[in-house]
Amino acid sequence: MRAMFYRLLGFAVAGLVFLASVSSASACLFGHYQPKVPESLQK
Amino acid sequence: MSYLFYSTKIARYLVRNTNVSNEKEEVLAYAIEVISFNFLNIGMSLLIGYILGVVPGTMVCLLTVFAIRIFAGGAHSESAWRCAAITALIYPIMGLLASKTASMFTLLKTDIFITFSFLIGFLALFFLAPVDTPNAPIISSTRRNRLKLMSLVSLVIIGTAALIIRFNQLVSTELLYCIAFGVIWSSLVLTPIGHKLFIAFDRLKIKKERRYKSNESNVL
Repeated sequence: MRAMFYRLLGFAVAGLVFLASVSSASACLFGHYQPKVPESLQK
Repeated sequence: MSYLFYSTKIARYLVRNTNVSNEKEEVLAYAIEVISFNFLNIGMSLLIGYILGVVPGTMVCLLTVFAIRIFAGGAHSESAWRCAAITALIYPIMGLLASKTASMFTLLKTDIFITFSFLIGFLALFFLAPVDTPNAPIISSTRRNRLKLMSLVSLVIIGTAALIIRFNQLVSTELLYCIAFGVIWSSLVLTPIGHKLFIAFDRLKIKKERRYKSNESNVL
């Protein structure tokens, strides 16, 4: 059960990294607030 | 670099419990902040839209602005919570305005208004897009050109959809007004007037946000 939980955390991390890449590639999304894009994602 | 306290806390937890390097903590905090605020903004917009009885209109406004803003960018608020308030209110208000306007205007006036909104949208995107912010600078000129082109393509797709809706009378003119208001709002936030509007919102005094700075565990 615990191993399953950590595997899910791994998937969550992969999903979040993907989302961060997609979000940083666009100019912005719905809202009117832009969090600071990490330097590693700026292009 | 700083993110809201919960983004940093969750990111730190994920880094500690997975094989991800510490450098990714910032990226994870950024992604959590993006996803949480977009869910909050959309949820609040739809809730207020539901209260006002304009859920379809609010959804059309959200989709129109999203399709343009994702490529064109525009003015942003410095505060996440002010942004949430603005986003939660602006789309239902546009939906409500569209509902009232549709019942007042004739079909000819509707056509003129929609044509006018797309003309404004085209000019704003052609001359101003993409508009970046200090928090998300567009460094590459290739990327800048690609975003401008994509914003114009997006406007053409929205315009085609509006034409199909108009000539096949698929839905009421209310939703056409929602598209028009969405295009006008997306254009407004590209202009200096839109930026001044957000500066004015930012001057409104609210409680200071709790933020973590990277590599620090103390609350600012």
